[in-house]
Amino acid sequence: MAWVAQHLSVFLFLFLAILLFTGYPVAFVLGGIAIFFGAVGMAFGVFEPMMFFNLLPRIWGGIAANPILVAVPMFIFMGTVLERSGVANDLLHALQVLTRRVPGGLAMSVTLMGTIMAATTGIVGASVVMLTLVALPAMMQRGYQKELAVGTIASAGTLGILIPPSIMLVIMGDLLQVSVGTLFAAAVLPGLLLSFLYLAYICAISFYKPELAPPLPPEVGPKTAAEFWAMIGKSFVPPTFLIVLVLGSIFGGWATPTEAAGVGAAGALLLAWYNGRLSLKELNRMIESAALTNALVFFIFFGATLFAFVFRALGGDDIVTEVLKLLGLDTGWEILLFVMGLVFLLGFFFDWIEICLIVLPVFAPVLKGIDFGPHLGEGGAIVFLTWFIILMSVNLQTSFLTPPFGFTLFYMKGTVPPSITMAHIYRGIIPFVVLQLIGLVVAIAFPELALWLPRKVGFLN
Amino acid sequence: MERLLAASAAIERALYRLSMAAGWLFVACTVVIVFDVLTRKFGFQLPGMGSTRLQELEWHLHTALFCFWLGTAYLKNAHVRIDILVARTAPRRLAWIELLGVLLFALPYCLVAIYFSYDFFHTAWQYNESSDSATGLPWRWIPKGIISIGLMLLLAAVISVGLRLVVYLWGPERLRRAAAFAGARAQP
Repeated sequence: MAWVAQHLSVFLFLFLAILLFTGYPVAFVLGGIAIFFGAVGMAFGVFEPMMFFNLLPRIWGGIAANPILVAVPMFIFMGTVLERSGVANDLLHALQVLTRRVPGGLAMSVTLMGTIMAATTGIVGASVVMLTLVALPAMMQRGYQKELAVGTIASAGTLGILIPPSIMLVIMGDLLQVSVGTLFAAAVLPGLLLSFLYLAYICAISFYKPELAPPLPPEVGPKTAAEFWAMIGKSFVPPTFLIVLVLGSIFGGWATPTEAAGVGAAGALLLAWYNGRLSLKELNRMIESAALTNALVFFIFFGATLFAFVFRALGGDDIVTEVLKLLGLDTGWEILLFVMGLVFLLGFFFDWIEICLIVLPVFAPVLKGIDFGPHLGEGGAIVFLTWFIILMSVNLQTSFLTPPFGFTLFYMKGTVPPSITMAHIYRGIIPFVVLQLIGLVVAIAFPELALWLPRKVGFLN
Repeated sequence: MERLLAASAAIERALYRLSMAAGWLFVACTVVIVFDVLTRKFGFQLPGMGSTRLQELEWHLHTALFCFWLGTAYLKNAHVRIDILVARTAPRRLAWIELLGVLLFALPYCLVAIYFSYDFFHTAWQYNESSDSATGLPWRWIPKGIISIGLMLLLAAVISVGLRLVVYLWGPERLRRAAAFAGARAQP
């Protein structure tokens, strides 16, 4: 019996793993199972009823009275408004014109657009829905191979949560106590690297197999130079304005991420109003969509907070250390690669919120003690955590795309025409997941990819 | 059975209206942040509206924003589900799973959380707790109370879903269609 009492945290984890697959909302399963195991713990005398009281101070201090997390609803709101502001259509058209002579030009313009939109929005849903609605019909009309079309859109849309601003970086920074500004700076180059890998792949495959990506007819595009520049101005000024407003103010040290998010939301509202998309009815729809996404994120916080607390109270931390030792993992590299492998595998079934909120608290004590020494250069623990979070983020990019449960795939499934099946989508994302893993390996091998920019702007000194 | 269904629908309508009204806090929060940034940049402030207060107001609004939507998000089926293993399960069995989830996970969680959150609010109320900062906002029991209210609204949503499931599983044929747990697994 004593053995059971000592290993309750293991059972807690096993039960969670099984019960999550009932399809009942994750947050309720996390919370409900924690209460159940708290009660079992009481029966074994290793848990006190009053310990549940800790739930409230934790919700309060960790979620509510947390100025950093105010950035999350603001970035969600900004992304949702932008999605419906009509900025995307102009931008895609301009990019199409610019890339019309390159092999796979239309697909490349989608990736470029995903990259630019990613720098203006912190969520994935907005970019993916926007790209699918705007770009997929154009690609189908041109006779693109379906797999290539959906793979391009899915991967480009997913960049939204890696390239700053990003609510994922806000949440991971909050969990591991790294400043959000540092993480935003660190994520820029890895994000651009992925974008570059996608572009290179699309260009190469379109060059060798032109039938997959037929070029645009040359008559597309403006006739005169004046028209051309008017188009460029109309389409590039709004996103540039938002990027400078949000990222510029953070990297320049003028605003906290929360302030930048609020100002960005105001900017997005202005753009929507300028484009004539801001009726009362439309604003209500934006609010509803943003509020539901926001509630989804924070409700998992609610459940995971109680879960992590009960897990720890039942001795989970020691068990994690023990399990790592049992598996023979004790050097920093072994633990890092183990966590990366685990996150990749979990990504097939879970999405980033659960992975961040369940895995990070469990491994945080172990991670904070890791020293990578010369591989990371100067700076100590904070440098490691910054690098680690960026690796997590690149790795989690795959979780959006890997079947059967990928957030991006769900957003797409709801938006694509019926002629595109799940099989097309699954086949389409494979090369892009491989590219993401290549990006991850590069970021592991060359930490400066993540660390150079934050050092440069003075965030890591 | 008609009454159960009507009660469920009434809860749903009331929650949705309340949530939509609270949704405007997105706009309010945007305005507060912009106002705070501008006043600080230009170095003036209105009496009683210093930066500390505004920044506290921001997270008060943020708290209300997610609290007032927890329940509605369940009714709109927005909460994340891992539904790959049950994707092809028959609707009736899904309703059973959902009902068990309501009884075993959602209700205990809501009840425990409400009990302690009320306690948490009550202490703040008794001592008329205000901000730790001298220049901060008074009445800290308001955001603490909002957490409690949010959990109660969540409980109301859980009850609404539970009632509908009961009608769906045991009600007369003509009501079942209306009671079908519409949101369940229909969308991501």
